[in-house]
Amino acid sequence: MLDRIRASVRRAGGRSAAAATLLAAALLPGFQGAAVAAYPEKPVTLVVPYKAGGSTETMARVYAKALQEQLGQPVIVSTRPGGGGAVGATVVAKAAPDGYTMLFAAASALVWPPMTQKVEYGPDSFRWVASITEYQQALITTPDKPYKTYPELIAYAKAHPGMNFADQNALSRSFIKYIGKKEGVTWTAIPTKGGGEMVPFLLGGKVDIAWSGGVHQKFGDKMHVLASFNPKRLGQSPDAPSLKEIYGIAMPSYAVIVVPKDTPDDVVATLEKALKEASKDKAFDDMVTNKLKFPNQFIGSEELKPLVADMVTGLKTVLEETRN
Amino acid sequence: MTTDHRETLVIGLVVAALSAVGMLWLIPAHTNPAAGPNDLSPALVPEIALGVCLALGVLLVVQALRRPDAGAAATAAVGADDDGPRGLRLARDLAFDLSVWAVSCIVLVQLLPRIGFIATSAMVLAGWCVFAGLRSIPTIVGVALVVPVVLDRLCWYALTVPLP
Amino acid sequence: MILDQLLAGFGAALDPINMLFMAAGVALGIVVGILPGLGSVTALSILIPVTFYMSPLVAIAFLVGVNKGGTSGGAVPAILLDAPGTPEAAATALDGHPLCKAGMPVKAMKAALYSSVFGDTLSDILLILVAAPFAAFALQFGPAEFTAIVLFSFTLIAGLSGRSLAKGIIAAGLGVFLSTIGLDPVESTPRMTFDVVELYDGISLNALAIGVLALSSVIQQLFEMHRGGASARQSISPDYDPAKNRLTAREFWSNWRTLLRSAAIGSGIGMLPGLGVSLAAFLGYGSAKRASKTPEKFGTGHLEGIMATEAANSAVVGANLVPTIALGIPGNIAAALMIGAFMVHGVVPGPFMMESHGELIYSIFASMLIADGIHLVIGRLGIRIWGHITRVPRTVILPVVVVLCVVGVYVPTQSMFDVGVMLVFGGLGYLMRRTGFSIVCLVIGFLLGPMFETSLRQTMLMYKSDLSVLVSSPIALVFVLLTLYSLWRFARRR
Repeated sequence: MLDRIRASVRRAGGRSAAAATLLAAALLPGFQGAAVAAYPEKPVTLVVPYKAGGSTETMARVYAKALQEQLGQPVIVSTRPGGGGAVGATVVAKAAPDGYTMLFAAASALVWPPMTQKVEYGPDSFRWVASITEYQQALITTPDKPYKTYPELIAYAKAHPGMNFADQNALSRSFIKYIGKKEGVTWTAIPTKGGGEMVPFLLGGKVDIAWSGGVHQKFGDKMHVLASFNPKRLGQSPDAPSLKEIYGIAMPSYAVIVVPKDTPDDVVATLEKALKEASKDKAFDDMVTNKLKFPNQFIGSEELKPLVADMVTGLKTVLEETRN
Repeated sequence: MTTDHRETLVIGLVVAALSAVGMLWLIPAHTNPAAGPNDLSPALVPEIALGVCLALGVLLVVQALRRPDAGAAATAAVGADDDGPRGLRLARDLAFDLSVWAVSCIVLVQLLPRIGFIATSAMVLAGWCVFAGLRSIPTIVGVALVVPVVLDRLCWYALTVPLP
Repeated sequence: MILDQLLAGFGAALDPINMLFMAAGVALGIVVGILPGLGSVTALSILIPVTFYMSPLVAIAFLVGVNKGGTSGGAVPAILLDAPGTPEAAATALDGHPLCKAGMPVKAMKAALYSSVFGDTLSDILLILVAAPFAAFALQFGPAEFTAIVLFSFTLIAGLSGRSLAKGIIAAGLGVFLSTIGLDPVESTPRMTFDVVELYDGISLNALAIGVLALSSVIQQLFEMHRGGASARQSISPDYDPAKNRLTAREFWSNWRTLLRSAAIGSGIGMLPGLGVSLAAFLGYGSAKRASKTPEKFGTGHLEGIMATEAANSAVVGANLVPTIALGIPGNIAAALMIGAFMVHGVVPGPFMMESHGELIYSIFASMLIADGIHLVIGRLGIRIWGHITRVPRTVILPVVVVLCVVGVYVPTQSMFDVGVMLVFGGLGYLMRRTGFSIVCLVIGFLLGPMFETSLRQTMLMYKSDLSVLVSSPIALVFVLLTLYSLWRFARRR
């Protein structure tokens, strides 16, 4: 209870009208209690904007179970794939801002589509509640290829124009274009609907290289990491360079949980606390660190704000470079 | 011209007209052009689909007009229904049925979020039972009361889904 | 080698608690499958959290049971009410309901159940024997091969269009058109969405299928009764006679060719990621009709039609675990949910699953075979219960089904928009039924449309607009030739 009030007060700082109400709420425990106890009073939906069977969806199911214990209400995972996350994000942006619909997605799905296409949301359409892990985004291939390292790949691609590159969304496609432009190579981006479709294409030799959001870690030495799209090198593949080292750009890598922007502060505070507790859940931790091999790192709404701003400026650079 | 042919003619005309509207206005106005050099236009598949409908709609019209008297042959070729003469009655029935259906749907959709699942479905059940010719009042009341409550509880306890 | 491991697996699987949960799973699956709109997928996604507290073997065995039951349960409303809740049972209704009207509902349900169990068992055996090698074969399938398969599947329309081929193709064209509504699969730009956010995902297959398949049929029967076509007390199967409802072993096995063919089709489709149960069902029905010496009997209450459909759709259940277990790639949504369940229980599906969890995998295989037996027993007991439904007057049961349809659409997504979509398609389906358009063709068009478009466009990009791959890839060539062959055969027969 005390934590909850403290969180509300912290959230309220700087917002005049809301702050006044919340301060009153904090000072009058009875009032605060009534407002918070109202949420959640019915099942909460966790929208995952990707096809079932991917790492996000699997993670969401285990996390939903942990979250369910914290919230005391069922948490229903609903997959709404399409548009590289844009479909699910639109659904949540337009949902009632009552805390009963939240989105669990890659941060890029909330930042990138608004810059490039006509979607009806932007990074500001959401309250960014938390980030619970980082995707292990990599440029991958199969070990039978003649190129084993990133420089070798670039050399090979220069000699063999028209290689097929499986992307999974418009953002990975843009990064592929960006690299191609910087290095002067041409390759074709093949759209796939998530890891479930990319894996058979790559293993079956239909594409030469692929962008992976982390699924490659399930396949051990059957897949080979050439480079990291994250700001840092990946924990599992410390020898592969990150694109940031080479080009100074990186892809947003956070898995975030957001709610519609007008969600009341007290609801967000309740949610953030529950999310934080749920991320300490034993089964979830085991799943994330040992099975998916993702880092289990919780980032709250306050620390997330500057990171979001960074992402927006970073992606604008890539966009401007690839546009002309 | 037999009623079967008149029916085929009308169906063909309606199909052709609707497909034409779709191809000429709906699809061009509501799709974007392709972005990449090797990609197909997003409008291509819907255009093909409606194009096929348009062509076959015209075919139905032509066949109904060309062989107005050779009833059996045309029916075999176009394969229209073999339920016998019914043309006008069919149109009248459909107009009536579809308006009843539309009204009942509007009522259902409007009431469901307002007065909740149990009350709405009780009304729907009773309404359709009477409409279908059931006259036993105890049965109607029983069904209308028991089924919605059972379904509502079942969804909540077994499937954890709250009905409106 | 396999046999030893399997025997050890049976040792673990024959545990009474395991058996009990499998039985519960099958029973739950059948009950959920019977409700229109709720099939294996809904049942699995709801029940996976329940398994968090079970041991891995019991949990997976329970879910396997749910999946099996859910796929066969759909046949019951299709036969009794002509109201298939899912597209996978749509072809069952074509022959099942006429049999029911002729007073043989129990016989039809028996044929459906036995064929289901047969297809399922065969597909499980196949899974156990060939999981690893066949997974490598599945990798041969890329966008070009999928394009060819979908192209071939379009020729199904010819066999399912009913009395008028032209109207059948129009219905399929409408289905394809409807399937293109939503965000473009490659560019993610909106298509005919009118800025309605619920349409960004496209029209929900669940809502469309329940509307045109189940609801429209119920509406039609309601209006017929309103016009006094039948007396108020009339039951679903007025001429029910227990003597006519016996299904002899000879009668059943005389269709062994059809059963084997459908089981093979279902297993093949199941092993390829992304094609789905409904396509298997339609392909099974279509090819049985094509191979039959008496194709005109199909659609009039022909036992073979039911068997062809049910053997094919149930054969997908085991086989779709082949890519799941061997590659970690889900064969369809149900298998994707199973992957999630595996991971929750500490098993990572993929190439290392057999090595690191061999014992568990063989126990699961053994459980699947046992579950087939359990399925037979419970399904048979169920038929006795469903048999009683046939005595309820139609004036009572049909309005109840209308409400069930509403619930069935609402439950998976909790979206009022989908309920509205279903009601609209109920009306459209009724209009199509009365004017002689094939509903099944509409659904096939809707299913195949997006598969065709996405695969074709991926092929165009992958091979730089050079479609010669459709003849240079041996697998694609086979399906292209099959397509041409069926078109030629069809043209010649006319």
